[in-house]
Amino acid sequence: MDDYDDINDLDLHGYIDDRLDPPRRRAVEAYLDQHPDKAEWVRRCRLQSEAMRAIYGPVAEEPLPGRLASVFKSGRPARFPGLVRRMAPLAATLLLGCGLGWSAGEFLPRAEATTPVLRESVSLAHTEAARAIVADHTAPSSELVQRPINWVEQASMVDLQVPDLSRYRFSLMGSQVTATTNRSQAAQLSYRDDQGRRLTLQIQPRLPEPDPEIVTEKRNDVRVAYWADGPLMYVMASDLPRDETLAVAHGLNRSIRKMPPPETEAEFGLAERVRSFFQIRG
Amino acid sequence: MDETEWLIAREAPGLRRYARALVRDRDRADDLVQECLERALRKQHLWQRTGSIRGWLLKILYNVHINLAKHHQNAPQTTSIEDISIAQPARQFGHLQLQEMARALDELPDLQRETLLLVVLEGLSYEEAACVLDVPVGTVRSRLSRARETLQSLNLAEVRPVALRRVK
Repeated sequence: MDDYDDINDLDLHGYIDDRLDPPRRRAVEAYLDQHPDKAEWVRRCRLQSEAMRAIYGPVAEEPLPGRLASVFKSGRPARFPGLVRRMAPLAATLLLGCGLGWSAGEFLPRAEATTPVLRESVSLAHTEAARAIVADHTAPSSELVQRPINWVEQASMVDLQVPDLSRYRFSLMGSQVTATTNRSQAAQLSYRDDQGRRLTLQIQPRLPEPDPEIVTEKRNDVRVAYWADGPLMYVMASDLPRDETLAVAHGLNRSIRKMPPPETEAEFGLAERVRSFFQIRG
Repeated sequence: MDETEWLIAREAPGLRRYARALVRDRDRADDLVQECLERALRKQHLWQRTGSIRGWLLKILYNVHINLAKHHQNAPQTTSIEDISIAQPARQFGHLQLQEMARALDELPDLQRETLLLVVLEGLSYEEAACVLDVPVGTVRSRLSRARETLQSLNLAEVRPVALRRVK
């Protein structure tokens, strides 16, 4: 009987890991009976698996250290636990545009991305976005609004919330996880103000290039602002004039993080006062 | 402690096992687990109850590990059997055999080792491992295959069962 003629390496790995259904398992066993070299290979793989479990398995038998047990006894855990705060290993790129759209660099958690690349990317994308057409969104449910933010939280290990831009007369119109122009994924929030101007916010987890304060520049005729805050990096492009760009950037930085607001708040047009707020909070 | 917290707490020992295998350092592994547990408690509403809570927790743990890996790039770790409190000698392997196996695991590329340990140590299905690692199932199979080929080429055939010796 040759019903094991189609047995391949994937079947052998499935057999080693006990992932085959009974008929296929029997077929593999019959195949191994006919192929002693493969049978020896499988036997060694299984022994190696046993060795791995012998090395690390006992860790799960150890008593739970007090600091881990106490996680379940203390009330609400710290918002930014020490490890993330110390390492600051990941950044979210925020791309903001009036009209629509931006793109970001690739979402490659292990890849390094530099702010010049991102600034170039966001400014070019913003320039092109003016030609894009976006359907109006109906007011999204809170669950739908939260979903893209939750996605970023999972990837970045940072607590975020939907930014409230009502101070700048912008209302949230839509929220989704979307593909950027380079086919990576980003969380996207869409806003519109009472004059019909639009803002689109995209957030991507990235590795950071630490930058201590908000900086603005004109790039490809687009106003770009960028800054780092702990494990996050923000890059924002807009059609707004510089002072408004700075004010909105500051408001975004303050409202997207679940942190107590500062005692005073900058006003539109007061660039020097606004600047004073752009030091990154520790 | 509500039901979800209780379910999360039950997985803590297994999370420590995988974390120790990932970073090969007791304190760093517990840092990782603490970060994972705190985050899981904060985000427990995100668990959809459509899959196992174990897979969800391992995914959080792996994400935290990846996000912190860059920081530790200049501090490579190797497994020390002495660092693992084996309450009693492993039944079917000698100490030297386990040391050899640990060294061979250390030499595997990270992605292969992380995948192999999820399947072999944590007993995840290929589909569950793919979800934790956020890669296609085919990638999991490919990494497993390459990892095992590498371990075989390291001439670990000497790993053999040994007679059980009672150590007082």
